[in-house]
Amino acid sequence: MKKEIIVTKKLSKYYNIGQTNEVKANDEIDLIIKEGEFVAIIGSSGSGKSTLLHMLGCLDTPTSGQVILADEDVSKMDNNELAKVRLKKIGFVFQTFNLIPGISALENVTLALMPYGLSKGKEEDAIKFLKELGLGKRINHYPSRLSGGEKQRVAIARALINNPKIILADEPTGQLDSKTGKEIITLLRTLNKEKKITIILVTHDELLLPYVKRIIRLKDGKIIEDTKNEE
Amino acid sequence: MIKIVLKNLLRNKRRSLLTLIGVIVGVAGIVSLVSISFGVAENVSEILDSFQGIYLMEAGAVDDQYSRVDVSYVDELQKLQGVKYTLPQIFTTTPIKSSKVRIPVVVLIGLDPELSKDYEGAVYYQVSNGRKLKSTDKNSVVISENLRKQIGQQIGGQIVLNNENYRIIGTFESDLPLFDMMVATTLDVARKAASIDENMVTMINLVPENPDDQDRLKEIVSIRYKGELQAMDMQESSGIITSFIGNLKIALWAISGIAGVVGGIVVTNTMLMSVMERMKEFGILKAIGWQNSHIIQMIITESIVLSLIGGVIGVGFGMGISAFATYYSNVPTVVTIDLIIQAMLFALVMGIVGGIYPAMKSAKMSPVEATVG
Repeated sequence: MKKEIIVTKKLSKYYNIGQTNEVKANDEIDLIIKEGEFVAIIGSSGSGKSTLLHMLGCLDTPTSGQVILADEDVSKMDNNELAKVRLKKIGFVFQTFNLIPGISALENVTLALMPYGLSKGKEEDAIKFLKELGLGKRINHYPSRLSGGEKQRVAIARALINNPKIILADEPTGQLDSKTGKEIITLLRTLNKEKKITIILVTHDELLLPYVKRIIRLKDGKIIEDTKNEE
Repeated sequence: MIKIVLKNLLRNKRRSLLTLIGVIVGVAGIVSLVSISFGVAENVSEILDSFQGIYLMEAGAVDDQYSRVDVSYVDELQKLQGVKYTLPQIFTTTPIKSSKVRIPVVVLIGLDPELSKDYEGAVYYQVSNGRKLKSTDKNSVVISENLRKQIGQQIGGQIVLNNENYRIIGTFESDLPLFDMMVATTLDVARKAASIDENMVTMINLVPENPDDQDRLKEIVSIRYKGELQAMDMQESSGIITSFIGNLKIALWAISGIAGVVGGIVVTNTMLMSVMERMKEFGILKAIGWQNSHIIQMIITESIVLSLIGGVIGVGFGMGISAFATYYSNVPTVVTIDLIIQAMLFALVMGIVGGIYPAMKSAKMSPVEATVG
């Protein structure tokens, strides 16, 4: 029996509360994700999928309800506690890569650890991840000298640096051509299979769905479909 | 952290350079202006030290140039208990000429060679080359070394004073502006130059055996010669001058302060622009696990690093400006370790203050805003 790694209870995020233009981005979502799952959250624009991902990733706080990450209720945590959870438990992959310009691929990967003291071992891990992701010759290159696919692989290495239990990916192939996009989703699936990392991705690209194990469809801030994919 | 700070500063060289310039101007302003005030203060205190004892002028005279004192007082004063030297003097100004140069104004001091033959209290009594004046000397002068160089004469050479030729028999050294363009001669010659009657001088300098006796002597003279002579010492004048120098220092610190505030505004402005440009990056850093305090620390460290580098360069520039001022216009300057430390502290404060507001601003960036789109 696999352990529950993410649990949400009546998780809601409302904007403009009490006003005529009140928006229920997420409305009382109950969700359980177990260790090692590879989940795609899909839905049309405005369905609330990114908001849900942000709350699962401790980037945003809920209006009401709970988010429990690896048995820890993060809903009421302050900013510093949330930053520590993000550092230790979660890796992020973004649509626009979000690498810092002016520093090398290696420094981008190790950046999260810099204020906490970067050990030699962690730097070696970063080099190992970059090599595993096919960036052995790009370690000291600045983001401006990398292709889109390479940038996203650096971002994935950055997400892996602290051996997180969860990777959250927001439209990870959104800025890539279909071939590179396929490489990235394959890479995420390999990480899920080999490193047993729970991966949750938000996408509107239906072509990615065959790669995931579970599909959650949102509409108007609510889950309207939750299905398992056949392997 | 310092590695990423240096990388950030190098990423935007132009902005870093602008910040540096702001700090350099502020610190160089402080170092140069304050060093001038220190120099002036030191100089004035050296000048004051040159005037030992009590100076007696005609009662009611506002200035030694307008004072007339009969030399007959000398014998009486010398008899006062505790008096070591009684030196009649004439202070005036005069133009002089040499074969090569005409100098419109030099300080002319007339003194009594006999009464001052053992006295070396002021620089014009301390002949370093040649010899001191003697009472038998006719048409002889001792001049400051600086004046000798300016008129291009040697010892034994001639100067023209009051349309008469005088032989230079000695020189004395002085770096002080008041004494570095000076001619010392006998009372008779000075009387002629200043159109002073025979047996009159402009002041009498009373030097006590023991400096502790000075106040007592001054009191005695003030009482005994009330209505005839007025006694003053340089401590009195030094109070006024010290207070003036204090005000000068405050004024120069204030001007430096303005330079510092301008520098601080430049630092804040450029740091703020740099922060606004990088708001998305701060959001990303937060998303991957940085805390607000880490980002604030990074920005303030960037500001401090720039300020300290600017501080060091600014101190160098300030010292350069001071040296330039001394070399070209003879403005005295003194750069002390304290001044350098104060200027560096000023730069540090500029860096911290300039970095705080932009840093606080950066902490407001939400990681969600930064990572979307």
